[in-house]
Amino acid sequence: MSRQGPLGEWKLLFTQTAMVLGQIALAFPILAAMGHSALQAVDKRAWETARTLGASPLRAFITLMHEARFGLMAALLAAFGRIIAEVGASMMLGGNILHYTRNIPTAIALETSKGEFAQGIALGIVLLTLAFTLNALLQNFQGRGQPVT
Amino acid sequence: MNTETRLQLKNLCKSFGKRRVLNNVALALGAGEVILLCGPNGAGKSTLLRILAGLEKPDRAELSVSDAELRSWRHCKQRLLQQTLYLHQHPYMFDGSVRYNLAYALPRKLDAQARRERIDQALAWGGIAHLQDNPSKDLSGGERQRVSLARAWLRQPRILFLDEPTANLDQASRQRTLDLLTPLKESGMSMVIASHDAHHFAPLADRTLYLHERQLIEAQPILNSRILPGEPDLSVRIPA
Repeated sequence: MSRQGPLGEWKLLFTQTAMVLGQIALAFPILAAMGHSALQAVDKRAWETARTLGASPLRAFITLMHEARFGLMAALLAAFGRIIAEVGASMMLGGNILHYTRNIPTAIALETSKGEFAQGIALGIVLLTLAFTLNALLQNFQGRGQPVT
Repeated sequence: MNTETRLQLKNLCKSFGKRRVLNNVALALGAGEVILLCGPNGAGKSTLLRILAGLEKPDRAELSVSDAELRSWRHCKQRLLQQTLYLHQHPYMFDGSVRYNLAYALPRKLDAQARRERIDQALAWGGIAHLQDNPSKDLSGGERQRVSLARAWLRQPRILFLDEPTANLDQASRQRTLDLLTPLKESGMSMVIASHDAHHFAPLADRTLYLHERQLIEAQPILNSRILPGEPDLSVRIPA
């Protein structure tokens, strides 16, 4: 992504777009692998029952995703956990520019490297709170029960 | 039973690896006709039903669905999925209530009021109204069977394929299954029932076929005391 690299013409380095692309690159393999195994784990009869009851391939696939939703949610959480604390990719691709590409993990890295441990810990608590809140919301969504007819 | 042919099958071949399980199988199924399909374990009964329901690809087959011309399975697959319904030996219940599972069998274009009414009718028909809000994953084998038959009643396929519908069920549940199948037959639905329980389904069946050496042959239910010593049972007699 650097100016001399193959994607240099796109001038992405040290931009938010580059950070997003970096995070996607990190999260995608986790999402794909865990999502695939979650769908594979669904009983083969689920697909067949959906199809024989008249569902189109698309509706049958949506049904399959519904049956695998706990596994898919776990994949989502694992991918989220991977990127929310990511420092290296954000620092390299975003450059840690104040008010532009600085995010909480890179800010924590900067503050602790300056010796501002109190600031680092405070930001860490904010990050943890965000992560816990999102996890709790997703857990709540998972356990909410039956779909409405 | 009228003379309309719902399904005609010719030259069906299916192999798993090097093992051929069905070889040049032919079958004709009339409107409202019930065929009892017997055969030993691993003979290919389930495979045959799954192919006819459009769920499994054969190596080769020519089919005609509802008096259309004979065509390849691939050409008929969509029609098979639309006009038939396959019930697994152990029916699969989607994660949700019994009502949700029944709703799945209804056309999506139906409005909410009509859906509710149809589901209530199906619950009453299957004798499962008391289970309507139960999580379907918690149902017993017999209850699952009744829910799956209620789904069939809602969907009204022209042909119903049942794979061992009474396997692992107690006598009361087996009788309830038969009681539910009888009105489906009377409504004009054609059925193919794969079962070892020839005795149980003999009153419902118009014909009995036996899957013998990878081919279907006509058979007759007979009294046979060898299967359950001391307890008379009906098995099938196959021509010599």
